[in-house]
Amino acid sequence: MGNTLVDIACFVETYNFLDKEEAEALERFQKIAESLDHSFEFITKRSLQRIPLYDALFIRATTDPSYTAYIASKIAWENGLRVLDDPHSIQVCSNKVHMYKLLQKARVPFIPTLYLTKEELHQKTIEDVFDKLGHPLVLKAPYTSFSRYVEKTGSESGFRRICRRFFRRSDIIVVQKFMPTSFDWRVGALGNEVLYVCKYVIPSGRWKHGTKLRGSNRVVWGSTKTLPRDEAPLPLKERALSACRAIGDGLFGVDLKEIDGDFIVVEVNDNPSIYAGEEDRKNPDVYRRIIDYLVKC
Amino acid sequence: MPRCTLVLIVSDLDIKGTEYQVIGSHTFLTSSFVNTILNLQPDYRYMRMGYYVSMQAEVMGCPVIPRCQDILDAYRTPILMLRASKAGIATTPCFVSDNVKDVMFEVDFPMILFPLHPAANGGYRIVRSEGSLYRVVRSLGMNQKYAVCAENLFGRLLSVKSLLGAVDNPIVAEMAARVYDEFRLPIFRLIAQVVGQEPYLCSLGPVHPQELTPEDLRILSERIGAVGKHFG
Repeated sequence: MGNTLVDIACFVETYNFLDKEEAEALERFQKIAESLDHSFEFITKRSLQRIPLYDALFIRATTDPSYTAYIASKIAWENGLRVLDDPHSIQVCSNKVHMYKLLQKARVPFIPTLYLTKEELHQKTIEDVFDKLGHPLVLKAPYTSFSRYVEKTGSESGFRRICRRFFRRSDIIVVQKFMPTSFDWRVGALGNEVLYVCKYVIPSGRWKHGTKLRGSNRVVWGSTKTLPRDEAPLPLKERALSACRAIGDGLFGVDLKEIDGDFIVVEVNDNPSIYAGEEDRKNPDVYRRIIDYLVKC
Repeated sequence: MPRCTLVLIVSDLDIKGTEYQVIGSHTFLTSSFVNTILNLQPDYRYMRMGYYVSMQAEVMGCPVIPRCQDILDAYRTPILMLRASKAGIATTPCFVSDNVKDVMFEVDFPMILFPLHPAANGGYRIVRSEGSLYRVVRSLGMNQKYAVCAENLFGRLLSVKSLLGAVDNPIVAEMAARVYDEFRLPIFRLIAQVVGQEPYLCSLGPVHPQELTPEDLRILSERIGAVGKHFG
């Protein structure tokens, strides 16, 4: 801080530096910012008190209203800093019930979805849910991130078991139709403009991009295939932006499935992953555009 | 500005004697009422039914008390303090960290520690020595995965229920009313410390349904009519 144009704080946790590609991406953000005469400093949960001293806050730690990242976002917001992700985006995207209800209100097509409360967990409801959504189906905890707490089941006993686990933290959970595809589209967007487009490939023999190995905590991730945003299908980009508009104008990663030539939304995420050599591969201006957004008056 | 008329109370409490329609949370969530909503619950913790009622009302475009943003802010002590202080409410300075040495450098003993982890339910711990500080920070922070919020305990600790801004302790009556005006949580537990007759806000939290007596429910029913001023 001192003679720089804009002082940017980047809120991180130690796990943000564990993955080589993510650490490299953070370094690229810093280099780009500094090349534009801005300062870019990493701060952690030990430095929340310093947030008001900066002009902008960029959050890279996992966001959720229950996490410290939300407190950081809110402190920045209350002190008039420009902030990504803003508290409203965190509030909506970190709770899939809230996010789907806003998509529904905006009439954005998304995966057929039902909501289940604790009180409804009895046989008749479970039978109705399977009748409506088919076998198997997908259960999703509202606080899911990085493919965690998203599970598939075709049995009543499995349904009950997963529900009981997810209900420990939330009184409502999400139930969805199982729609297998070989990849999910990911559209990164900022300020209602497309930043990057890629395909998150589902690993062979699995049904979601990140899958835990049986009996282990290790997660297997599918590959990421990126394409220049100008070459991505226009209806895909339009659908993704319509989903973003239902939430806000921050930084989002929209997951979509391509079914019979149509694009339906899987979910809208705030705080989307940006890994060097992946999301940025064909759209290297990702870093510059995010920094420009943060320093805009 | 036109005053909205309160038309629907969503509550799982046994609210009687009010002129307004009262329905349960589950009924509200599975219906499509479009009204002005008073969401009257003892517990608004994130992802609990009280929170989801306000969320549903906001998605439907209904004016609602309390709003989700206010719920999240009120139950997260550092944000509560930031907003309360801006609103001119006397607060206890707080410090957030996961590092014991930093906490000791910034906050004197004895201190009150509030957890900031996802399962926090409004509880707190009082710490009087360095030895117990290490233990409590590790426990509340789930082995330093989460930070804690530390406040210096310099007065007498007080914990009271606020029912639509009313409390049964005159020392914190004005503070409770101002906190209610700012955050609009119809029911909350107010934790404050008192020096002489001066209260300083420490934290807010949920009230356990069993803590609400028939007299509390009567007070709530009585005060509902005055809530309209907070809408619009």
